[in-house]
Amino acid sequence: MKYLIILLSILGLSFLESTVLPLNLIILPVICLAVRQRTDEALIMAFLAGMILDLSTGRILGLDSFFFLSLTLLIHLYQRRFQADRLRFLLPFTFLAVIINSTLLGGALTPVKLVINTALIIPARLFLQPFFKEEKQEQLEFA
Amino acid sequence: MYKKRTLPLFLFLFLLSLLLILLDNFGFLKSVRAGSEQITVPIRSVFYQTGQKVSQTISFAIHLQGLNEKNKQLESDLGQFQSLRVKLKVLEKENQALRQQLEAPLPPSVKFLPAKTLGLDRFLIIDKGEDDGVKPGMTVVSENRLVGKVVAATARTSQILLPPDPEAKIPAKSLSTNARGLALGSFGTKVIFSKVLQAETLQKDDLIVTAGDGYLPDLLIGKIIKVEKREVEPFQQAEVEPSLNYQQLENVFIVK
Repeated sequence: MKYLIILLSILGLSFLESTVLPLNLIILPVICLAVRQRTDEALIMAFLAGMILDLSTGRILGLDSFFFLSLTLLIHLYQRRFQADRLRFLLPFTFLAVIINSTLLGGALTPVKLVINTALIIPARLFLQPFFKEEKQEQLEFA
Repeated sequence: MYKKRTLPLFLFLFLLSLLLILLDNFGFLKSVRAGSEQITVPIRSVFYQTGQKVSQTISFAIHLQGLNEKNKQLESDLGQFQSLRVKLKVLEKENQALRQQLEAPLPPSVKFLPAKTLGLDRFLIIDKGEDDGVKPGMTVVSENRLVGKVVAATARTSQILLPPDPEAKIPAKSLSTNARGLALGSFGTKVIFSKVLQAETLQKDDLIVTAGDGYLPDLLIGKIIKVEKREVEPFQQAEVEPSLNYQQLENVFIVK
């Protein structure tokens, strides 16, 4: 049930992103899920979020999934080292992720948009808080 | 348990994304896209129209105080416009007569396909696509003003490259001095009329129009708001304010 609600929220955000709010909105729940959910669940959600976004914006299918999966992997590799669910990690990480995402996908990014986009991680984190599990997070290990 | 299945899952999804990118790039997923657009296009249309209404309401509330002054100004402008309208009617008749005399009507091959806007991200997205005969490279206009050029089209939508986009390079000229150059997009917010020879004349408030070369000629791009001329450089340039507010566009026409 919680995944259905999260996916519906992502769907709504993707429509907003592709019509009236030219910000990178979907990246916010993807980052929140990556820092708080189990790795496998976060990866699946990142893939689905990317697919929804590609379908609603008309971008090449798989492009955003590719980026979101890379983002989720990166977060899980450094999760413990930086206490990834703290704002002091989330804010700069979101800032960098939005810059990279906009640069790769060619979006028009002004400094004001960048700051607003980064700050939106705070309400996104609050909104998704009830859905997070309290259990200890698993780390992705290649060893 | 999660550790063991995480890496294979990541690799599977990663490769699946790569496969989708390849398949979509070569056009194998057109039917999937067309199917999804059957659902998403009407929803996006509702989102966009609702967003515009909300934006207009907020804008109205913010500018309410200034509206009285603007109303007075508009009333005085209206009188001037009415006299201009009479002159325009006379000119229209003259123009029609001249056209008949010269037997030079507009080319019959030029047709306009009306389209509604669906959204504005980096590109303007419209509700007409390949099914309606839209192809990349087609010019999009609103009245006699340039909206942009189609850069990609799916079955039911198209993406329009706008003049302020960093990739936009439009052969252009100034209307009164006929100075030729390129209208280049800058930061997605403004247009620079560049590559203009120093010998040419650029004036503030002069209008910049298309010069042909892949676009219909004499489509309005914008108005010069600042001229930048340095004697040591081979070219001069000017900052151009686009003639359209792309966020408020609702109906556009594709030149077929």
